[in-house]
Amino acid sequence: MQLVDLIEKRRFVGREFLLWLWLESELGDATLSTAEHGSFGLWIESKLVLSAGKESTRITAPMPGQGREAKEALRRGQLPQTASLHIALDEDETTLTLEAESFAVRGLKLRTLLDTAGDDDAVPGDLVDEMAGRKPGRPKPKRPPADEELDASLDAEARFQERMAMTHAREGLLAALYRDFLALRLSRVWDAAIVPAMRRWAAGEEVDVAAYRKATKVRGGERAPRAAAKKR
Amino acid sequence: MSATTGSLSYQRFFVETKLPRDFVARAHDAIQKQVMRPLTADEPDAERSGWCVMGDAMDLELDRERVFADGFLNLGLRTDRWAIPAALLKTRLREAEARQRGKKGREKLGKREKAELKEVVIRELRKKLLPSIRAVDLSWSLEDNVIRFFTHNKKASAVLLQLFQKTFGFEPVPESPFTLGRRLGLDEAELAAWEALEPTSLLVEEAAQGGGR
Repeated sequence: MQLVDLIEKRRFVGREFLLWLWLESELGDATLSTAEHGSFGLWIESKLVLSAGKESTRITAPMPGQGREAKEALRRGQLPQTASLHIALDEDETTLTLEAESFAVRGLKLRTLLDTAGDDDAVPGDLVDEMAGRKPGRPKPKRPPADEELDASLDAEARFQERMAMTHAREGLLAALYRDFLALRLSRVWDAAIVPAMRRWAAGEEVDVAAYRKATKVRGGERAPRAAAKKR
Repeated sequence: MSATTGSLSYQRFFVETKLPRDFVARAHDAIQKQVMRPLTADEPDAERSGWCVMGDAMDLELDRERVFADGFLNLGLRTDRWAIPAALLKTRLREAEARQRGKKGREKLGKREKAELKEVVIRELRKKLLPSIRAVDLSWSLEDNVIRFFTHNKKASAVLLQLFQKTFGFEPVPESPFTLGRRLGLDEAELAAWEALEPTSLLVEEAAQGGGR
């Protein structure tokens, strides 16, 4: 198979990744884990778009994956196209919208420290002055312009570095999840255990979570690739 | 869209080309050759793109330390475009044609005369207007070989890719489920499984026909 086919004809795998994240999140009470990151919170929040061909379902709700509308869309053959994810790792909360077929990111909100640093000193208006017990309209103390420029430049650089480091970390978390997903998706476990569980879950039936966990324990461990299985 | 403020929206591309030892010097020279030249009213171009400082479309001083910082290559793609309101152009053109007809004592102008007149009117209007200026950021992590284009606009992405290729001499690979999987290290059996993959469907006929629960 040519590289272009490996890419273009398998973009649906990204949709299945979002579907798997959604299932894992619901079965695990919004708690997922990876070997590198340990446990963390992850759930679909505010927006979920499913589609198949020209048919699409756009759901905007606090927890869009939990309603019947979303599950019915799955049962009509649609798969997630984009999903807004909320990730809570350690003390940090991040939201982003992930596009399934390109893994493009929209609206990644980071809780940076440097973006908000210095806000205590900001006095944007007279009301702020008044509330702070200062005389409204008083001239603000200014540093020499050269220093200001240099500081601003260093601040901007530090802020950018922080944003990129945090972005890289969030991408690392999603990549670790994707690796775990691929270990399952490219093994016999997908068809044998995950798809049947997904069908029950989409139909609103009880899923035996313990049995599901046992069957899908290949994550990060033993893998049984589908192609190899077929040859046997 | 900006990489420096607000929430981040981006597409990822990857560099699969080995960079030369003197990459920084070479790349900086190449960037300098593609620095944005702002549009002027006297030029025929209706649109032009070039590099600017990341986060500041008006800053075209791309010193090496402003482009290369802590393992990143950061740039902005600035695009200037003359956007003359159609109604204004139409009105001014009608006036100019009327003047020309009066001057030449004719009832009609030829096709060529009209085209020439349109060019003159456009040039005059451009002198009174400012081109629209748009910028999108690009950040290339040289350590991770990942390039983030901070836009989802198809046209801006195409221009960005084109200028990137023109400047750096190669086309980066866009992110996809396969490229990410490959970078994460699919083994041979997994690659074979990837080739054999069929889409998962949870389709239930009765649900598809509107008879679902």
